[in-house]
Amino acid sequence: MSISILLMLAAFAVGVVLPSAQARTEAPEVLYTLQTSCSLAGGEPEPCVVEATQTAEGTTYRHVIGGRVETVRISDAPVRMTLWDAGTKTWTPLSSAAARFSTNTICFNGRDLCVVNANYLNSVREDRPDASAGRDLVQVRFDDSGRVHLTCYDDGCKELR
Amino acid sequence: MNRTAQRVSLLLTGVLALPSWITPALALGGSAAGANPSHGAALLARGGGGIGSGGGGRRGNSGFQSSGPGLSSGSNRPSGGWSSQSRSSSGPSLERPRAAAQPRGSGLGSGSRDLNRNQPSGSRQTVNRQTSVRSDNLSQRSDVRMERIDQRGDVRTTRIENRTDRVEDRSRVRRDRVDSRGRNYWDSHPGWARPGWGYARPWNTGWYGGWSSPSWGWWGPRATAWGVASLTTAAVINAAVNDAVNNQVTYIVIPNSNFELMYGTIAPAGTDVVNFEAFMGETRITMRADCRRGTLNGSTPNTIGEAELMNAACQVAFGSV
Repeated sequence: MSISILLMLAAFAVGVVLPSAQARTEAPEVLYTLQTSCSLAGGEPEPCVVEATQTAEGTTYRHVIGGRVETVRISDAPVRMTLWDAGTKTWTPLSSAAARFSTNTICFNGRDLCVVNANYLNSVREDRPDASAGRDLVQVRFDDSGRVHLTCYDDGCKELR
Repeated sequence: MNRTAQRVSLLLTGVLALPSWITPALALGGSAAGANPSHGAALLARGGGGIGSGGGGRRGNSGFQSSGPGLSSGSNRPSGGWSSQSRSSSGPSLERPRAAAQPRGSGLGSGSRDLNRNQPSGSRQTVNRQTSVRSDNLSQRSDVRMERIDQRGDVRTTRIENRTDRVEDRSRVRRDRVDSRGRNYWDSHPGWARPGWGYARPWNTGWYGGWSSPSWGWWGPRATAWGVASLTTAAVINAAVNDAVNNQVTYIVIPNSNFELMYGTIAPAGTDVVNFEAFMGETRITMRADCRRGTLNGSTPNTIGEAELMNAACQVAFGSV
């Protein structure tokens, strides 16, 4: 009887410990903090700070531009990009994103938010060597659900205009 | 009651005995799957095993393996590491940058020869590199130097002719190497070795260049002995790397030498020192340059070729773009 109770206690402990261990692993992990330049709505470049954080839902890029904060979350498999709407406290799907390797630039929603982030592009370059080799411009577009429904490269993107 | 408790404990014991990768799934129950549908999809994908019921069979080529989205979450740490500061000549831009002016080899001595030999050419043929070719190059260079001294009036013509020959020889070798190594080698290039590499270098330390004559104490006497006025300029080296990147070639040819610098292997150690790999003929070598002291593997360069190799490695690592 006492052994059974011990086993039950052990099982209970496992049930308690496992979720809490998982919760610990899901704690946001800061990948890097980058001092760089950003632009808003096609405007002039401004100094900004990007903090990249890994969470269970994806990688979050928090852009602090002066007193303004724009946060984009990108997840893999499938690739989805969302923008934090501080007003509604919800993540809103982006309509497009584009990157130019030679200028180390990534833009979200057209030119709404552009940032020089070589870290991001270096990571993409190594994540997708086949897709990115020899490419300079990459654009993706998302449907209303936020899922990619179009990708183009370089001159192929001229077809989209 | 006693038996019921024992059954429950046995059941729980069985749960405890399960492999650790199963236990969390059971502990989390259906709520986790409901919270993230992609988990279930991932498990289904793993169980699929490709075409055929037996699993492990050879999968057919669909032609769509590389057709996924061109971007990713960017969370995987690149081999060069994360940078904390982005350097940029301007702000963010999706416009194609203006092509840098290609410097011409005028007035800078032999060091100013264009390193841009990576452009594909229909006239190039694939041949095996042989030691005799290199010997020919060396003797041609000696001839050129003598002619330069003795017959200054004819030097320009002779130099151009010899340069053409040399370019032809090296181009053949390069094509051989590209063919034999294949594109897999390029695919293992670090993320920063791409268009925009100058600002994508993840290290934000170091300095190099910006001089009219190198500041190393040994440079003056050695340069005189070697019969050179200057080293290859930063603009020429940068242009060579740009062309190599654009053509997916993993190395640049170092002038006045038998070296080829594998620029993607460049790894700074601190602000002055850089480790890198190069080919000396067909032999791959690892080297360490101290850019401030001007030493290669701890010693001052013995030849202009070694000096040029060190100069190129230091420029790619620490030079301005």
